[in-house]
Amino acid sequence: MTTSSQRKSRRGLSRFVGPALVAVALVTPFLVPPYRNYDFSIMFVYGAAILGLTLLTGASGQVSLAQGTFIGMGAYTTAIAVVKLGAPLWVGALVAVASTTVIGFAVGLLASRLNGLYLALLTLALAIVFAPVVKRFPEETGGASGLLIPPARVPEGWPLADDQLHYLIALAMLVLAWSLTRGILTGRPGRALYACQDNPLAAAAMGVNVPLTRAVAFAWSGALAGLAGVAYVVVVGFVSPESFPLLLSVAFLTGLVVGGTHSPWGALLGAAYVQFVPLYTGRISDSMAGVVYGISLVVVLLLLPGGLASVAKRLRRRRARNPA
Amino acid sequence: MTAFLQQIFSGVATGAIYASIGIALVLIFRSTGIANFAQGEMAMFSTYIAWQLSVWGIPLAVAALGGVVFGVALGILTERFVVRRAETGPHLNAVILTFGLFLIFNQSAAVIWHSTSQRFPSLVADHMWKVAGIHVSSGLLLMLAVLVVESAGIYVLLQRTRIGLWMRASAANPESAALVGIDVQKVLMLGWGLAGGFGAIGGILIASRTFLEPNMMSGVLLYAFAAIVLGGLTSVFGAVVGGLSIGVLENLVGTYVSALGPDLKAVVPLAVVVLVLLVRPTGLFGVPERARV
Amino acid sequence: MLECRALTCGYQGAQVLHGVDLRVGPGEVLMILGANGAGKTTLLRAVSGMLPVTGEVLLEGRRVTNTPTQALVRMGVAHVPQGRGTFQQFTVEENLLLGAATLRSAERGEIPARLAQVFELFPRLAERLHQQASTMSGGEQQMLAIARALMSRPKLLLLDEPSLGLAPQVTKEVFQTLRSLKKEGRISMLVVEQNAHLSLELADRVAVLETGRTVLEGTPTQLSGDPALRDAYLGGALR
Repeated sequence: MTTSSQRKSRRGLSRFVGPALVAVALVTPFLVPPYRNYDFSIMFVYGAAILGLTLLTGASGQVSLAQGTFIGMGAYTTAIAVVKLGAPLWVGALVAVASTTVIGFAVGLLASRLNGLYLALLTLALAIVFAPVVKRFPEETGGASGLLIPPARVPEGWPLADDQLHYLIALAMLVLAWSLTRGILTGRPGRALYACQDNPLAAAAMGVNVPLTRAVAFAWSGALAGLAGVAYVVVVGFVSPESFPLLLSVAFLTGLVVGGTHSPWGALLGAAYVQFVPLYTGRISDSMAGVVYGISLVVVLLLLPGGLASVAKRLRRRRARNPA
Repeated sequence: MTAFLQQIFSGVATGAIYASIGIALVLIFRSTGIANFAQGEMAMFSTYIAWQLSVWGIPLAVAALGGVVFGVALGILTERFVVRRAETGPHLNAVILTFGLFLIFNQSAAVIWHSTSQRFPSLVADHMWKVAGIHVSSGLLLMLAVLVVESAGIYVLLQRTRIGLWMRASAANPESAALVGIDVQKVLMLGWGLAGGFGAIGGILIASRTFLEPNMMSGVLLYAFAAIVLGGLTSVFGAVVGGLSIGVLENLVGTYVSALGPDLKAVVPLAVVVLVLLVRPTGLFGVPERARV
Repeated sequence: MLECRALTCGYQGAQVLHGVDLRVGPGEVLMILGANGAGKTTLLRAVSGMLPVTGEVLLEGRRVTNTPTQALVRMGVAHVPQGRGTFQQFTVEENLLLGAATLRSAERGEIPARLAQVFELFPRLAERLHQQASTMSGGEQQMLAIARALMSRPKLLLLDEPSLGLAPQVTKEVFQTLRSLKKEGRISMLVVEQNAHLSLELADRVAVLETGRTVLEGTPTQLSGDPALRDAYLGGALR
């Protein structure tokens, strides 16, 4: 139990944490080498995607094995709009987010009345079918060889390198995704989501349209994955059918659980985890990261159900209990 | 016409694989309500063990048996040390847990044996017969034979033995099962072991038909799930019928629906799942789900 | 046979039993009376290890607090739960065989003898051996539940409202059987029952449970002799 004074002081603290983090994030690209900027940018992409899972899995209790696939849809939509149709990037971005939102809603609606197994199956099928579908339409998608997207260029005269610009765009996407998620979680929609997870019958009795709420959660998560897809195109500049495998989606679930399912902070911690573990395990084997993901997913699930985000909370609670 | 029959026949053989994995999924789902998304990876890992044993010079039949035994042990250990801790918690956790197991088995296999595909030796001497215009290979016959033996075995075990009766009782009503003195937890563990064994058999069959590779099961798992959804999730018999139907359907669609072709036939399981949900959510042989409180 | 000391237990936050003390002697039948929600069913579940408890449960003098249910069955406790707990989709025979689940493989030769004994008490079950439990009448299912419990040769039988949902005539039959069982003297019983009339005929002693505490204990004669108690706990049954 947190007392109201504690809560107030925490809110006071977090008032500093947010801007401080953003400030650090804004300075970072000018201090680290370009390949680090790339790493951080990818982390932001993952962050937006996992924020989608915070809403979908954490708040509404639905599992998706296709969050990576949704990034792929967003990325491909952007890429096709820009490369094949000659649209400007921002138009491609809008179309991409709109389409992943709609697809998310459709999938959510299909599964909203069913138990979680079918949703997991449905999303598993999406994840598996994605690559063959992309290859099936080589005219539009570039087939197995993928699509190269001309990188976003820094306007003449700006004191920025390309990698710094891409970093900042990805960061902007993440901040947008973050604010969206926070807004939803702390407001009425968030309460409806949790109600649907905890006790669907009671939620329905209180006038919440449970299937619709679940489908909307899926739409939100699709939208955030779409944003992540746009950022992916900006940062990586290339899409291919193999860029968004099932393993990526499972890695996002790992990030969600390890970071903490119930807070947007967890999604950020999880994104950092997913992005930076491979940099350390890669020396052993490319696949070692997956093993570490799997083990950490199991261990955190069984021993630390709130994830890393809950560690700070626990420490604070312990300090409150025995003030030194 | 003979081409059509030929397709059906090879579909049945593929279906035998789906049935094998499907039986494994059903054994776990009906007793714990957990859809084990790691089942395919456990099967793949066991298959690698069989392959490794044969590479070390152990006779193939013994190596295959070793893989199956390993599968049983893997299932038992997984239940005992991992899944058991999540069974009492929220259901969502148990499902996500199986994704963690998915990663562990899939990626450890890639670390140990690398992602390049291996040729799994043929289990029987290659031979081809022609019966009424249909080509019948020894490999396909083996699959059917294995499926028949598997089905008969699981039937006898569940319907004719004491331990089978306990398994059915624990699945039907765990509380009453405990009240007659059955150690439900041990029975669940045994179920995971059996599932591991059936999975391993399925994995070895696939590998001997195509190749051995850490990601070889992701598609198969989807087909197997579609099979058990069609069969009604809790019915072992349903898994067999569902598996065979999906195998035949997949083959026919891959051959005759040119818009999809062999690449896109993965939409078949998806379509089957959606169709079953819309038309008959309990599947062919499922019992309507009782609300669990 | 059975002794409970200061038994407390509850479900997630809500405590139901607040320190129950009771004893059941060898061959004795203890009847638990009490209003709905007094904790009768919870008491039986606590005794048979289905709920975590504090306090003490002693079986033949041995401390068995928080022993798993299946282990208690092996020690001779058989519990016929409310709603009977038969396996609905299983045949009568399968249900009875499940009742003998505690037998080791080497002792399986005993099964026919036990079946014969059970059929002596419930002849009708012998006729329905291959019928599915769900197709039988409520009374037959109750008999099956008791028969199944007896297959484990219990020393202590816990019965949770055996008359629930049964026609009066059938209830009488069930209690008739329980009385003949008691006469054999090998088995102690702890019975929760609403039908006071029949239960007082069966019981050696009666304990009254009120909001999770035993408030009164005595013989049926003592209890039915007290008009206030009679009104409060026994309803109109004895008037």
